[in-house]
Amino acid sequence: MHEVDIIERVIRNIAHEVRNPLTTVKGYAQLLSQKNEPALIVKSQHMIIEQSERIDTIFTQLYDAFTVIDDDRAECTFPEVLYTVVEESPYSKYITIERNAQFRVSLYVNRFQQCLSSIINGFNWKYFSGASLHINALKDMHCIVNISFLGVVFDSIPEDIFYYPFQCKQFFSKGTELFKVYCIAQRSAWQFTFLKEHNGFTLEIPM
Amino acid sequence: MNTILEKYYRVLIADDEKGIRDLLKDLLEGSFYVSTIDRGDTIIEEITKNKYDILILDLQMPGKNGIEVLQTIRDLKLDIVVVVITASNDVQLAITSMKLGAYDYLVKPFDTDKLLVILKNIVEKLDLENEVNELREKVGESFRFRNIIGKSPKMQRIFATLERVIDTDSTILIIGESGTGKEIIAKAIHYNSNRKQYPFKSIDCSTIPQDLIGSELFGHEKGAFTGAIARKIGKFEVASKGTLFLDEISNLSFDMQAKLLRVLQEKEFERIGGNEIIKVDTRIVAASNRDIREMVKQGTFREDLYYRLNVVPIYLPPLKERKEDIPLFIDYFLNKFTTEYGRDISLDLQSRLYLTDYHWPGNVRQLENVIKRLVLLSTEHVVKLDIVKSVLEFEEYNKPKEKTVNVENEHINHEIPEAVINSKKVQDSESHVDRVKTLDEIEKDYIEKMLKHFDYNISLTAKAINVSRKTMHNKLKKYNIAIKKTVIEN
Repeated sequence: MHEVDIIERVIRNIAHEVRNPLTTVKGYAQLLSQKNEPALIVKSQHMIIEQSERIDTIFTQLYDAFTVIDDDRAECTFPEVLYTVVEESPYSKYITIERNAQFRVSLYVNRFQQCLSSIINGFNWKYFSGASLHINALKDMHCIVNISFLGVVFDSIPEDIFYYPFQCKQFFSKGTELFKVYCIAQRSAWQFTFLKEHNGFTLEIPM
Repeated sequence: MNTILEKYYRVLIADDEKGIRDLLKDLLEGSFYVSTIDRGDTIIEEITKNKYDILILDLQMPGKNGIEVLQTIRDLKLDIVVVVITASNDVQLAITSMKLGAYDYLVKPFDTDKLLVILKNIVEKLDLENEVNELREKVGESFRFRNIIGKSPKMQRIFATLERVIDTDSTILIIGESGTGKEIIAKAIHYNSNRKQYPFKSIDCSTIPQDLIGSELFGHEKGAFTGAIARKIGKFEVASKGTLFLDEISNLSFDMQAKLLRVLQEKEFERIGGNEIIKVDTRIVAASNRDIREMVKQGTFREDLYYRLNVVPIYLPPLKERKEDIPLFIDYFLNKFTTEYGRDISLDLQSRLYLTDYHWPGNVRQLENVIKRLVLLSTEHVVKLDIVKSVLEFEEYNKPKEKTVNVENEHINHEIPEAVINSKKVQDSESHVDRVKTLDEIEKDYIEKMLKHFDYNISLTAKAINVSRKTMHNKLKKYNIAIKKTVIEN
């Protein structure tokens, strides 16, 4: 995709996201001029402030996605490193980890765990109540971590631009989770891909 | 907005953004009954479970996106008006939404006033639709089989036959004498069928000149012939998905019969002077008071068209063959006309028996006219037999001779009214003069009674006996009737 097209697409996604709270702000401002009910005035003011903060949050999240934590490479054991993240997640009961392969690798452990946490906790579990997640990791030339979802279909996600901000908003609550993973992967020289046939994502970490 | 909307329509707001749901709820509550939903995959269940009139639909939602929701609404033919709201200004999305049946499309952040204008237009549209539906229901109700007078076994058999074929697309051919209610049966077929929400159109093939009937049926393009100054949509097109009643179909020319046959076979036609092929799904109900089979034998009606029309034949019996229904008709028309003219009139037993036993050559239409006249003319609250007899005598004198179909034997008979036979006997034999009045005498008596009833007001009397003022004056002159106005003395 041409650079200009990428920028256009990213801006379009961000604009799309900002327009929702903007509609609420604009709407309540108009409502204030139409209805003079004390309760509604209080609510309108509250909504205008809340939605303005939400606009700010959108940009904070975007900025946060670009900011990759400083980390040093360290030795870690699979699949134990996966368990550490999953056990801390409020959605751990929906997640299974394949135990077959056990191996040690050297990687940016904190960054890796942040990636995993973004995908696991960012997924909109509330809307997809029947969904579950399966993780497996294997090692040959690379360390490959597959994160596959069950009970939800990602058909509508475009494979080439899946990580763009707010591209997968219907599946991930903030909409910047995958973008954050992508940014970390880029800065760490990892490969982050979406595989439609596996209904999930893959992180490929070179050894 | 509150002042504009008198009714509460039900609105469902579907948006995953809580802020938008809250805003629209605060904006619309008071004018509508408002519910909200935050995911796409439960919208269809919600709108099928609880009846909503309007759906405000965000296109991007978890579970199922708005386009998929629109598709399902269209596929399931759900009766709901959809306004799409989206944060995307992708033109293609707007086009797709409108193609899928969305009423309007708003891009966030929209003006709430704009949304209110759209909703106001929808409310007007829904109000109109409801009014049309109520009227249609009212019209339809009067044509329900149970509301059609026909307790006699012959009519009950007809209703039973019709019930079986009512929701099929079968062509129905109704044969019956004039005045037996062929159009009422055609309307009953339409309003009891699954086509009732679409138009019922009728055309009387005997009253429209043959050179215009093609244009009436199929329409024409501008300039198709001299006088075709604009495009005209024909009855076939107007009644598409509905029912077209072709009354007195035996009067169609051979050429027009061929064109009609093509439409029945191909379900398509072209407007006169046009090239565009128009596909229609119009049910045909045809009627005739002539024996079409006989016409086929004589070569004046196409055999292939006859068989196309005669899929479900219905023979409407003349009134004299369903005497059980006559008292019901008498009561129905009495009630109708006493209400219409604000009069308190009833019939004595003798009159009722006489009317029930009468042979009614003009069938139900004649009975209706007779009761109307009795209601209009009677000076007493209870109509006596002599008045009934005089009205019937007048009816028969004025009745045109007509061909009728004996549906039992399917032979064409010529019936001559008894009064005419009697009057002929009078003319033939002078010995009967003392016993039987001449037609002129009957008419003179009748006109004098009418004039007296209407206080010698010529216009009212002429109207009551269905003649023009000029004819009335001629009659007065002919019978040497003097006009006596009531003089109120001080």
